[in-house]
Amino acid sequence: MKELSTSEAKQALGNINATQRQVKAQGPKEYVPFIGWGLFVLLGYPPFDFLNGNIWGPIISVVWIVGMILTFRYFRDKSARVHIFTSTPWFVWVALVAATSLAVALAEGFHSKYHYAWTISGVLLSLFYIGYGLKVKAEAR
Amino acid sequence: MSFAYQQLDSLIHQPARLSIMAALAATKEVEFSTMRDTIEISDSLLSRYTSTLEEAGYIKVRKAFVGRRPKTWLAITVAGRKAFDSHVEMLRQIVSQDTGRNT
Repeated sequence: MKELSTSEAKQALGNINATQRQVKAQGPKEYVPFIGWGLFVLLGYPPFDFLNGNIWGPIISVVWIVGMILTFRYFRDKSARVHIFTSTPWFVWVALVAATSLAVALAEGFHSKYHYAWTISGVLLSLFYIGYGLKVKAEAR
Repeated sequence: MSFAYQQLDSLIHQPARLSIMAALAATKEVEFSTMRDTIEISDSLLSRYTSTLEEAGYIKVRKAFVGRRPKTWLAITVAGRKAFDSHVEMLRQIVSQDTGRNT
């Protein structure tokens, strides 16, 4: 192989980084649904403390269904181009499902005693979702 | 300043093949047309480069159907990742040696 100048080596490294950024940008970003669902609980739970549950319940249920469809479509469309390595282990999914179920059960159970039960539940749960999403985002760089 | 490095892999160092390897090293699999658009080369050239890399054992090619449409997926092999990583390490050494000389 012929001699390689430092400027050529720098250029090759620059090309590698640019290509990797470009190709990653076309694949699904693992942190996106975590942050999206974090915002959903942050904005969707507190109104139960202030609005009639019979009105807000159906609204948030529709938003939840739309969110599920958007999450599915996001991964389906992006994964048609690039498959990424996922860094979320199974126990994080189990913890998220358990935390979500527990937050809903506690908010519903304590709502009659504590007026801000749903707000506290939504904020704490969103910290879990968004915090984990930001951790995944930082590690993906 | 120039350096002669026998360790640099000439198969990987060619710019388009280096881009293919770089893209595959950062992902699990890349679809053929996405790769073509990312590195901006023609279908036929990409086919030729992927065949060369596949013959060297650096990448693997998987054909699959999405609905009725055939799709070709490219992925790096263990040997390919090893070769790519040592190639990048060598490039970094060339750059850092020069930086060391200049300081």
